[in-house]
Amino acid sequence: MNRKLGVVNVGAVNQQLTNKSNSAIGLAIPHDSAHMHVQGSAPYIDDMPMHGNTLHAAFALSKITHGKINTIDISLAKNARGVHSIMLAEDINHLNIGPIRHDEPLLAKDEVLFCGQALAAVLADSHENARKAAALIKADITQLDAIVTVEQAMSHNSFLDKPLEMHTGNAENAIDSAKHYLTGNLTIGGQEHYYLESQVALAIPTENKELVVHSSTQNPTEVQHLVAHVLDIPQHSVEVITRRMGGGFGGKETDSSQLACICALFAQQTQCPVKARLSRGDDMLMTGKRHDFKVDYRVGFDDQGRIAGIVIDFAARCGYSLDLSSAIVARTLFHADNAYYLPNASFRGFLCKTNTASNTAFRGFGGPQGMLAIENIIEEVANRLSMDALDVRKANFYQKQKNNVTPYGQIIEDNIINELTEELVIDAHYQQRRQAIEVFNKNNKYIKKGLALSPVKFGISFTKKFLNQAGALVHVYKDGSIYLNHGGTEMGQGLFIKVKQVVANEFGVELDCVKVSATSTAKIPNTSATAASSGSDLNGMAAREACIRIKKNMLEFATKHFDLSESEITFANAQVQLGEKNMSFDDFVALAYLNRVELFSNGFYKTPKIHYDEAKACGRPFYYYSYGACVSEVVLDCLTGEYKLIAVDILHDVGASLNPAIDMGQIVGGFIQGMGWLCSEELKWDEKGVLLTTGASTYKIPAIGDTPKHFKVKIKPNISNHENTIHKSKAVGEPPLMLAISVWLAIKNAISNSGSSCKTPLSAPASFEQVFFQLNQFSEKE
Amino acid sequence: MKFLLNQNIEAVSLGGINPNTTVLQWLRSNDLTGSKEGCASGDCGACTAVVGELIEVGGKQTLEYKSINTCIALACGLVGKHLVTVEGLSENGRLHPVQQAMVSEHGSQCGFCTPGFVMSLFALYHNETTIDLAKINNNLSGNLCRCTGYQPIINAAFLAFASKDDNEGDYYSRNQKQIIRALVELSHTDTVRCSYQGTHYDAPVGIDQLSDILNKNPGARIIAGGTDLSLDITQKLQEFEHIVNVQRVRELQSIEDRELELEIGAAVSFHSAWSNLIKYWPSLEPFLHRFGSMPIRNWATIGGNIANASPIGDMPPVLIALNATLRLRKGSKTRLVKLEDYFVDYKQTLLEDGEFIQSIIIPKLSSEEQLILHKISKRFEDDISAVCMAIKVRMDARRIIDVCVAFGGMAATPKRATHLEQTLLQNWDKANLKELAYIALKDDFSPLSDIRASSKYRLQVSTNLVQKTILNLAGEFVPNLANVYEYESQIGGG
Repeated sequence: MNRKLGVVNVGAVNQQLTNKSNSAIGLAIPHDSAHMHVQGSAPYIDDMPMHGNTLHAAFALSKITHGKINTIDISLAKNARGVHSIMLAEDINHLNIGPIRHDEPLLAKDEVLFCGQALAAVLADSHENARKAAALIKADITQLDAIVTVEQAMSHNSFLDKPLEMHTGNAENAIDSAKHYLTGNLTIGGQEHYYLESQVALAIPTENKELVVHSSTQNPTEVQHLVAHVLDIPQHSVEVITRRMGGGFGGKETDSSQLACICALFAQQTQCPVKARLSRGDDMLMTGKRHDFKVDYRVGFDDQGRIAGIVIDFAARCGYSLDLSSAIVARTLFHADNAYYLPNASFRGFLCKTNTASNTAFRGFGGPQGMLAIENIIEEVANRLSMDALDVRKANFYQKQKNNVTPYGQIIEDNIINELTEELVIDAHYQQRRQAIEVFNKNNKYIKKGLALSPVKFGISFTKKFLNQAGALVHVYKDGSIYLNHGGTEMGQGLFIKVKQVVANEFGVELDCVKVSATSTAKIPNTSATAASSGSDLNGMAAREACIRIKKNMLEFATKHFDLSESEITFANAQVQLGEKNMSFDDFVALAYLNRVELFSNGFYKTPKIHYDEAKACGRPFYYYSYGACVSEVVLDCLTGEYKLIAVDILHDVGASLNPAIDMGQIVGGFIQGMGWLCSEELKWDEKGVLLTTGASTYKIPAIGDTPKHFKVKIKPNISNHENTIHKSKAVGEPPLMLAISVWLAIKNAISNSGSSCKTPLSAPASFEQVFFQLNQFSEKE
Repeated sequence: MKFLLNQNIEAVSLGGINPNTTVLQWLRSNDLTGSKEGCASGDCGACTAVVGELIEVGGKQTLEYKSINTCIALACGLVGKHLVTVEGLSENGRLHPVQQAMVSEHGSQCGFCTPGFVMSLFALYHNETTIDLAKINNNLSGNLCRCTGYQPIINAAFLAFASKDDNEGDYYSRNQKQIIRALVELSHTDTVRCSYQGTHYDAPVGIDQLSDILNKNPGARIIAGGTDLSLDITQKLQEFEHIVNVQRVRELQSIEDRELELEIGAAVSFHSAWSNLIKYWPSLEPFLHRFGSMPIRNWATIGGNIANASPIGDMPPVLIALNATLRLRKGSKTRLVKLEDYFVDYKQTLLEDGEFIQSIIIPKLSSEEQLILHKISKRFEDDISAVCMAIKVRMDARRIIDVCVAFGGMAATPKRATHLEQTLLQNWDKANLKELAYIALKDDFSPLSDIRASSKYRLQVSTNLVQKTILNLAGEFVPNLANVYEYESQIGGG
């Protein structure tokens, strides 16, 4: 019974990937905080010791989806136990914030635009008292007609911006002249981030109207800038610090600002530290989710399933404000090709404005919805032609020398999807299993199996060019210990350990020699959000640059001091080799200091080669692509609609891994999170637009038993990034999430294998209930 | 008001405390911030700790450690017990084997759920000598992780056990005798009582004391495991003026095993009743694995699952199908009430002011009878039923002689399906039994559409559950996927 399941031994991966002896690069090293995580001694913001005079903030939320605010009655709340003060919109001079467009009031003014919008903020002596008082606030709101769903928004022309478009070739002509034609639609659900640590911020007044704000955010710079904006003080007067988040997944890219701004306002007002953390229910009501979509498509194809022409319209529910929706829907269009060459394609993306919380970034950032759409189409094409969907996929894959241009004009220079898929097909015994499943399904009337392979090609870079920059700061102290700071934030993804490895490697010192420190806007300014999987690509390079600059100073000194050429000096094994001589790194640093060598430096990096013309929807938005593929097998109970994922095989490309253990964690974790999105995680609103799923008892993220029993995950060995990324590694945060599309496809395949005659297409998530109705049609006559 | 905390052999005082305070609130306001609040509703497990209690096994005092959701457990309930939190595992800076395994297997990413996983792993490590996947899933069923995808944590559990025999045992196994002695010293023989700014707490030890307190304070709220009631405090922000904890009442903790029936005290937890329940009703074993999560089962009581009168509690339909009877007590008087008569309407019962459930009497199955259970939910683990169906059926060769069917999730109360019962009895061998069952179910129920399921799904999937039951009784076995591991992928060489 003592059988170790699943994940391939990372030690083996590690050996495979590194032959550089004594280098920290490529080693399977645990997360930098792992030893503290397991002892509960890694402090999150709510764990920090509090000043005695710390006050706590909480929000009163609108229960109405759309309405005109007549009055807000705070009389009961004002006199409630422990209440200090109450803030309304009218008390705030600079009310509106937002990452791109300032269209999000910190507190609702005159009208409410979604259920869960903050109406008032309460300050009290404890978290509990603040929440209890907030619950006593009564708002008199005249209800107005609400636009809740994508369909309603589309029929009322309720949009946040003009539609995004991307065209290549002539899709209409190609569809018309194709032998086969299909049209259909797909409904794709949203997803709650369910970071285990809900949104939290702590604002501490320091002196002269200045503040330090601790924020659980992926974007300290944006929090800094928005706090400065609402307080009407220069950005230099606000320092935002983020040591770690208890999960982010995109949900703390913009949604952390509101809380931080309210805390800062209260802190400035009272000159006391002010903390706020959202209860789970408030967090789920107030903050945005992954965008849900309605997709309509038309496709023309030949006998082999090769897509001649395709038209896809994506309509995304963005919520009441713009947030990042334009960039998110743009990424949907960028990934509507996934790994397939589509010579004649027309994609449109509609930004539906609705009376719901403002949907926001979530791992994949619109990409997953684009990919699910095309993968669903491929599956439908295969069904129409009675082909194995894998053959249709292979027939459409991008090639290396021809058929290698994306609908947005980028030539794919690093394509490995064909060979990666072939390798996985063999490793996972796809063909044998397909046959075994056919036999199984013949022999079982009520239990059916399904199988699917889906590929992932994911573009790496922020599609807004200016965001692709990063800074780092490295200090070498007199004792040889090294302090590292960079603009990226740690949300569990292992960025800090990866950048630490980069720095330790540059100086040839032990990992313990390097301390990685909390992200702070006072150390690195104007940073981009830690997002788009770019954390280690950008910050790793910036930190390396800082090290190189320091080493340059060191070399300049050493060549003179020891009369050597640069090539005679090397840093390795915590030693500095100085020609024939050998010195410990620590002693060398001490000597350098005495000789007035500058032992600290910043570093800066901007991603090369990228450019994109938004008006023409053409260019090279991505520095490179990450690839992967996944085979999933499910078993389905036709009587109940219940299913179980029984086997998963993944082969994923991370270039030359900086840390295979961390990368493996991202692949496995991303896959399961994607599976949740497509299977059990179902957001439900009532017809008025009130979110009903506001806690873990009603919103079901995967639990431990949902882990497939056969779970074989392999990092593609002996591979490099053909672009010059940090030690030739590749980004890994987002791409694996989309491997889970194979689970949804396997469910669709099992339904199809059961001979279902259901005319309604399968939506995502494939809840048991939905699968049930795909399989069961009851006659209602009695 | 004292208890043992971690590796301190000196008892710790709760101090002046509002009885509505949860264990998690107490810990975090006393600088023990390792345990996290993820949901404050017992659903995510980030707050998990482990509680050690003295229990008697074969007349000997021994110590039992169980995982607990500290976010919905009341701090006053700790009195006389041993609380182990994530801060209490490492010794002199050396990680506990489960902590070390979590580091080695990369079982933490953001780290926020990690303390809870570590504590569930600690309970598993402490209570089991061998390990397998089913035990891991079972013990960690109440812990959600959003980062790792669980596989590294599963690997960590295997790794921790791989070296278990080699070491001398952790602090808690090495010092068990000393801990037992300290707990014996702490044990109260009388009512534990406290008051704080107009709020009161009583934890009596005898049933007479309990009736007396409830008689004098009919508005007092009875709490046992508190896994449901505490949500009023943490989610609805209510504050109870008077809380009466029945966990220590001897008579409510007893299990009487008689020839034809089992009488279970109302405050017996699912954990404590487990072996008796699955002995007499084996089909309860897979079913109860899906009742809440491990920490919920450790503290939730059968009496509480009935008393809260939820339409979606999983135990009432089972007990109605089994024709269970409640022994109710008020003052010195007791009365017997059939469980199916006990539920009057949504969250309303026959219980009078000052009256409480003393015990549940469950008739055992005869040799011709079997109990068949089905649960439909959105997720297999730790989820509330959309539909829960319990059928007790008596078969004669291949014919149904008697049948009792009860449902949860189909009406405002857990309820019998009398039309369905008649249909099954009369039309057992008809070809169109499924259609007839559907019609009967529509006569029995008009279920709601809500977050968990639509009305249509509830009715139709219930019909199919009937079909599945019939198929199974007729020998064409269709398993419940939630309970089986037998559908492995047929992977050559994989």
